[in-house]
Amino acid sequence: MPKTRLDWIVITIVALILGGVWIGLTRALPGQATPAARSPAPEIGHSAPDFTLTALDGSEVSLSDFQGQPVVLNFWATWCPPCRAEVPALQSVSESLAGEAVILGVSLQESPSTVSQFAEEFDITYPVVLDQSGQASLAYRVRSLPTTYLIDERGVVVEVFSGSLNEPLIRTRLDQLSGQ
Amino acid sequence: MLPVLQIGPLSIRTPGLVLLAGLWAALEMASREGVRRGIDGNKVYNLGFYALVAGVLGARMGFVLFHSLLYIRITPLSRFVGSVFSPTPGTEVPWVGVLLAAGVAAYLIWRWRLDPLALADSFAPAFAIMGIAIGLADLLSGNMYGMETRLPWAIDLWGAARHPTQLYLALACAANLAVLLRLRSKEDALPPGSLFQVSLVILSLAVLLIEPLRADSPVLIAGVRTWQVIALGVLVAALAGFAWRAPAAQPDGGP
Repeated sequence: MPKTRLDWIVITIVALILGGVWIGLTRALPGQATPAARSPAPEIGHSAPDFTLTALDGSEVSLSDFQGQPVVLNFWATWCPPCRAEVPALQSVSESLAGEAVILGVSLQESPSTVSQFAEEFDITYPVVLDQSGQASLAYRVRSLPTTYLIDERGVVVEVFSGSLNEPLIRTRLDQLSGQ
Repeated sequence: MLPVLQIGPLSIRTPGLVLLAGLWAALEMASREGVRRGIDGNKVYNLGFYALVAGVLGARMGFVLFHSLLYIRITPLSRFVGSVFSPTPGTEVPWVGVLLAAGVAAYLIWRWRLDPLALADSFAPAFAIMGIAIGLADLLSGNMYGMETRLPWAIDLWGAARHPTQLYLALACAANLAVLLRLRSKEDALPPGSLFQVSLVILSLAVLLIEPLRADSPVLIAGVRTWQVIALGVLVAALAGFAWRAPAAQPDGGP
């Protein structure tokens, strides 16, 4: 056990030097800090699984249609209170970032008429697709609602949120993505 | 990884549950450790609780302030208030929370005339318990995940076999707790504050070693990992603290 001040000063200096060298040796290599696109999976660092579903207007919409811009992929249902709570925030972000990022709502196993009525009530203008068979929610292993995936312009999942989002959170995350 | 436990219609977020349990255990431990050192256990418990509340509120208010331009655009008022106060994870600025928590703790230490060094020793095992809880919560949520490895104890997470860095942290904190409990019996021979300093040394060494195994480690500049720099700063400060309080020369008759 060191006893004098000098002993401790020597230990402190040695720790500082060794620690600095260790930090230098274990630096993140280029590309190591940012996950590269891997096989499709609903997991951070992986390509977001693609799907094609029918939109409210009857057109076919695929997730891959939006490659090249960040996508906020939001799984929701009209009967889910936290989903209803976050709709105004999603709509507001969608309006302010038109052309820069996409909000894509995936309605879980509900009838087109129920979802259309809800979209009208909440003035939703961002694309909403109908996952009537549950294929997309199964592919994304959605366990609770709402669940939202933040997907970058390469189509890679960068963050997964369980629970209601608010506008500043979505905006700051999208700003971070565009700043990368 | 088990972020949500579904029991019928009830969705329980397991990381939050583990953190709450850890917090309760940590505050209980700090309170008992305070009593051992002659400090009112209730004051220790309350100090920890108030500092925590200040930290959580401060972190959220920091986020609101730094992104105030985004918040003031939210209308109507009910949505604005909901956005500010809703428990939305990811809307925090941690360092603002830490500063406010430290400020509240300092004020209460002064107000209640508590011995800061004895208090620091009382909280050292509590921090270790919180470290264990944070490691386990991260394991359940899938955060702080490790790099890919073929080691036999790798865990399957985010589609790959990975270092269980969350468990490494929990184990390091458990080892820290064991050391602190062992050192406690020799505490009379140590100057006040020593247990806290030992705890800082062990934790900072653990972070220095574990961080390079993380795949989602935040980077400061040129690949240098942020948490390693912070850990080295804490390590040097803790060791310098020992140097500052050690006698300039060895007492006469010493070996």
